[in-house]
Amino acid sequence: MEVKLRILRYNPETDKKPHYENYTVEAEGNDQVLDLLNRVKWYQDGTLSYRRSCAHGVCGSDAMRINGVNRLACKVLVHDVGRKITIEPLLGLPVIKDLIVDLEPFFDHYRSVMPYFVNDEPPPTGERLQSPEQRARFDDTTKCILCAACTTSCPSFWGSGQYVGPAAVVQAHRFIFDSRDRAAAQRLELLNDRMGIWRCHDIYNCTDACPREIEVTKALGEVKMAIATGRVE
Amino acid sequence: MAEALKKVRELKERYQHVRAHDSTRIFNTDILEAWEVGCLLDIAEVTTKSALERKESRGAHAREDYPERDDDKWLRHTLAFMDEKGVTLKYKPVTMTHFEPKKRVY
Repeated sequence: MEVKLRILRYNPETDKKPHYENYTVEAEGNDQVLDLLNRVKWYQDGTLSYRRSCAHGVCGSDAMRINGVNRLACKVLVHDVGRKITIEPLLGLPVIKDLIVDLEPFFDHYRSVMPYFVNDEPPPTGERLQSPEQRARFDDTTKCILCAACTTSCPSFWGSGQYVGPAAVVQAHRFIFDSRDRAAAQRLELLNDRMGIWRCHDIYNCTDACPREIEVTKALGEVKMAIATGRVE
Repeated sequence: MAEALKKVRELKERYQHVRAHDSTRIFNTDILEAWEVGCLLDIAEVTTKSALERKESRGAHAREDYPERDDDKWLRHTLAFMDEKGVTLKYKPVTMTHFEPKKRVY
């Protein structure tokens, strides 16, 4: 069947601003939107640029706005969205070209929360042990693939790019609530800021946007509780 | 496999004339993808030639003309080299540690 794509294009070398281009492609119901983008790029317009890698919903490279909602292009099938599809780059980050945005501000926020394991005690001879319950405590936030769908769906982030954003908090959560880590207090101190966790107003777009179905708002709430009560549990 | 090798070489001929449609200099994914096709063709040639030469079956390398594992002649690693003249194959012995090769049965 025929599917009509309306794609927000932008060529930094020649365009003053982004503009929509229309393309028609043949498609089956179970084709991915990524397949459609490939069809346009390989057979109609080679200048169409986008990031992609695994094509399987696990790498997060192809996060973009599909019919106004942040999704991974390889996870959205034609029968999910219909025969008229609008494709635009993520909101809130500078557009480099077509569907490619500059993720450096996103990664800067990520780096700022100490997203790595900290424990300076002498290591045990075997593994650092942990019960299944302790492991389960932070299991959800280990799933983050840093696709930026949550942060770029957040109206607080659109309002100010200085807000650290849900993804960074999720990555901090993964270590704060890991019983083997020892830097929870430092990370909570970093997040206890006007532009840290306190810009979150429970809008919930992040949880909707997450392709890994992480309960983002819940994790952010747990970080707020830890700061408010002074306890990590 | 011989068919495949012939096809890969034909594709490499065609690749000599490849052109990208995007001539911009910022984030040109067209040129990037075209470059990657060239690399994939090289890997395809080297892999196909190595497989053609391995006259045995071993794990995922399964051949109807040589259906059994041949540890006497083929318990070795293939090292493939490529230059303008084509593919050169050399071999290296296997370092046996914890596991012995055995028949793949389920």
